[in-house]
Amino acid sequence: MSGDGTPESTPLRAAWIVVPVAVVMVLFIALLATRDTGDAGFASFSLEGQVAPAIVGTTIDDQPFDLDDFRGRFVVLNFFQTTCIPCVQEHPELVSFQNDYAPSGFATVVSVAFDDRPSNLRDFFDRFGGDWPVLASDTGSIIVDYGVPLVPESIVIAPNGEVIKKLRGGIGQNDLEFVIAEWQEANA
Amino acid sequence: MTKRLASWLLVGMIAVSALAFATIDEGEPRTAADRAYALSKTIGCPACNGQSIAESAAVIARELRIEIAVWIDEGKDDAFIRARLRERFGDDIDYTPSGDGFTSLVWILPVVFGAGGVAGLVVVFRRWKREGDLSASEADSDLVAATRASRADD
Repeated sequence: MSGDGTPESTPLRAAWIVVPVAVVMVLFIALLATRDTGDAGFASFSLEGQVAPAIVGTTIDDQPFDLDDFRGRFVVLNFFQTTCIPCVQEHPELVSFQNDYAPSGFATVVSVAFDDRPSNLRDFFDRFGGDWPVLASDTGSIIVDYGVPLVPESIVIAPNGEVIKKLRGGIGQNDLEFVIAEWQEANA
Repeated sequence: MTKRLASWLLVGMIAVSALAFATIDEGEPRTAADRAYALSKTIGCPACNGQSIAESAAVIARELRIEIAVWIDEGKDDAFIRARLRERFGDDIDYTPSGDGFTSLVWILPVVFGAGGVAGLVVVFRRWKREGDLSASEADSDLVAATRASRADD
């Protein structure tokens, strides 16, 4: 920069300002572009491979419930809400999964209601079917323990109590069978 | 002390006072509810965009507020609560940026841009001062005199 105020020095002076700013901006954009999005940050789930947090409570049928009682079989912990459309849509898949695998003691579904009334839940199961434990009271701590921000979400738990996978959104029976088969293969 | 220097000192004092008021810690929350609220303001709602759980009406935000209150009643400290929530919902739930890795940029960049801004102002003020000290050369004086003379003739 000459500093003599002549017109010839203006482009050079502008370059001294524009080039470093442009370099910083490009580096910043490159950093942001290569970072995970905010959604991915919230989606991170560290329970996989860990022992599932304890769940002790009472079902909507007033039966005592303890997740530890289900050791020895796969558990699909399904977080849902009766007013949630994807939850309604996935429900037949859960019913089918339960019908195929619960009688032999291989696996079971356990539902955790998200801010729902027991009467709504009873109506829901009367209408859409399904016969498995449903937890409705004091489910807030379960939702936090399992890191569930939205429904539907399902968490597959192995017979040894280890969390295998969290499945976000509506699921199908095939998804559950795939996750279980994959775990069995890895632990054969 | 000149009038000009006094006004600059006054501006500086106001700026420093404002910064001090803005950054001084308000102290420990007085009650468990105060502490829960203060913590909730710095925890993001995992089901919302850009809202803290203190201001969100989402179900998960409400459950998190309740759970934080329970943890506080159980004697858990803020570090435990933040760590537990980050473990369950991911790092982005914690609105208090850490000082390492990529997140450290939120601490570094304001300082860098602030220092750059101050340096720029110093350069500009110096140039103004230098230009203000310029005195007219003999040629400049001749030019002004010639212009005045021509206007007087008109």
